[in-house]
Amino acid sequence: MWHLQRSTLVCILVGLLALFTHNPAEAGMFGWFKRIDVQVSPEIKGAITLHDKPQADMVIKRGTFFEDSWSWDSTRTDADGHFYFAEKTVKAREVLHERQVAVRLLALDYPTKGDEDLFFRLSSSHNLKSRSSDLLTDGMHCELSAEYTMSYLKSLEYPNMDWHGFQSKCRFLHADKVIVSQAELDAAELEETWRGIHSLLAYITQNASEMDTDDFIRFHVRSSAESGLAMLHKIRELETDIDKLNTLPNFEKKFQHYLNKLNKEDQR
Amino acid sequence: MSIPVLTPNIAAALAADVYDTIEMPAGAEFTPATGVLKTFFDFSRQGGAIHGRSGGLLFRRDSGFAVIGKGKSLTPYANSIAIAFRGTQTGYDWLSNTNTRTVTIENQTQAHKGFYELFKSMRPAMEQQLNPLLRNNAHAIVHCAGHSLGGALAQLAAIWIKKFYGNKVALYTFGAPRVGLKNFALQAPGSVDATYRCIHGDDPVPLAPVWPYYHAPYNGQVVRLTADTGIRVSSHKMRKVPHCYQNSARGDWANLISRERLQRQVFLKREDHHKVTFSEYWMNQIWDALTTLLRQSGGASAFVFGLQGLGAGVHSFYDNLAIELEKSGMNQQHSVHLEGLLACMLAFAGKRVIRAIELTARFIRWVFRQVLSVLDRAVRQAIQQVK
Repeated sequence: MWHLQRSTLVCILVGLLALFTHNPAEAGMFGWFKRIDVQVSPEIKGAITLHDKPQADMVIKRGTFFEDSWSWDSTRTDADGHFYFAEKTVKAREVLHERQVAVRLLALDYPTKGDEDLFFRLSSSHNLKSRSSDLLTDGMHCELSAEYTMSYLKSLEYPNMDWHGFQSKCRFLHADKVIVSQAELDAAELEETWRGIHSLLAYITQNASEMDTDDFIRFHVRSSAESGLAMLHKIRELETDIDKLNTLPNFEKKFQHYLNKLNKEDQR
Repeated sequence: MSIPVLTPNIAAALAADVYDTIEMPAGAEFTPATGVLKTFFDFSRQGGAIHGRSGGLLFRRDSGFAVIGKGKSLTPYANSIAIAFRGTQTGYDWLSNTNTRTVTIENQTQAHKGFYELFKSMRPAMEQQLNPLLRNNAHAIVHCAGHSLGGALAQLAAIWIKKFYGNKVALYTFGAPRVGLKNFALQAPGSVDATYRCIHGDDPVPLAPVWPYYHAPYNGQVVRLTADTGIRVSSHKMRKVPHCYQNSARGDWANLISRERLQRQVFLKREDHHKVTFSEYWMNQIWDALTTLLRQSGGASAFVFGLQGLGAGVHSFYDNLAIELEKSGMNQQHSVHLEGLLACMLAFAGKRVIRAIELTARFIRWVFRQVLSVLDRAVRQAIQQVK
């Protein structure tokens, strides 16, 4: 009797499942039941120094941000200043909106007793888990007296994705694999500066005819020409491609032409 | 006259990086996570993260929602101000069709009450940061950007800035929902100087809330970053996944822009229901058929086109529309069109198309509710729950 009831129940459930999933709009609703591991902190192996001296027995606090709130745990450095945090994950439903996940590390009682010094912060959307962040925190040497600066993390899984910034006072064991080098940053900035030059010139030429009659246009043509000239100087410092360098005088001439024209009209 | 605008990648970086404000206290210094944004804009001197108050009546909380940056000197954005708004992480009732009442905003048009109230909660802090940047600086151009709900907030901010400060304003939205009724969409060109409404062809969020909400500007341009069609709930993400908006917003605006589809006269037949799928195409067909029918149906037409606002939300609007459609006493030809429309609506909602379709207010209301319900669910899934 029970077997019959159970098989009937299974049939009904299977039928309902088929009915719901038949409609593509409904099919997704079963994602409600899907729970995945969201990494809120990778495994962290680090060392703390102050003026290059290892800091022993220092309390290191780790904050993880998930679902709109922070949770905290802590550890102490050993005699050599080393500290360790295990990977931390939470079970959660998969989401498609931007769900912020972040990890922070703070050194306690620095610079003075009772203070907290933030020396590392990494954030992402959806999940921190990636080959890049795992490698990043696999060996980090943090100097508390160093400046807290922005570096950029490459995505090893998706190399075409925008580099994502993180802040720290640390040097990283696998920096060569996962952190964007200064040369790569300079190349990206150079590319953006060239784009900027082209867009400024396009704006000026599009609007030059209204320069005499419209004060707003005059202001922005002047500003664009001045910015264009300044950016050409920057390109001269960074560009190594001879062919591109040879085009600079032509751009300079064009920006200067509009600037002279505006100056003459102003004098008049 | 044109105004200097942000490139697609900078606008997308602005809409993506602002999500970091959620973990920041009000006034905390914001540093963009995308290099190009840091190269051209300085966010360190304006007063830090701006908090907004989101949630329903029972659950309201403050969290970081917006940032304001100033263009760095001797860059293409030297005279620019950038404002970014993030989308939401919790409390998705703002997209539900049950929660779509409207309110009159600065330009005397009707906009979504929930969006506007959230925007209003940020306005004092925004004003404090914008006053020194925009008072006595009429030449400054303000760029407002946002993703999802952030796009709706950016649109309201753009209108307010234009009205309050008088500066030229450019708006960039990514996967943003509709913000207001037809009068809102019609007035948009006069309220904002340049609009780049970026969508993925299969992101369902720009389809919400349903008609009589409209995208602004009315019949304006749309930047379709991917050519995909249908409705794929996974196409709404802003960053950190391969098909996100930050990855697709590349190149130049000139190569990306296409004209928004125009409303057409559509008559649906009962036998069309076999072809209907749950897709953006069929959603547009259904709404075009509904408005076509309404134009020809006396009392119902007067009810819709005289609409002043949605004081009681979209559901209530459709309930009343059902009553008006029944009252209209349509002729036989109109009845055939209404029957065809209702059959296609049922198929769109994944319901079995019954043989005898009744043209009573009760039945029409039930069909409308099925369609609204299935759209609600798809949009909520996109934002909230499902892979």
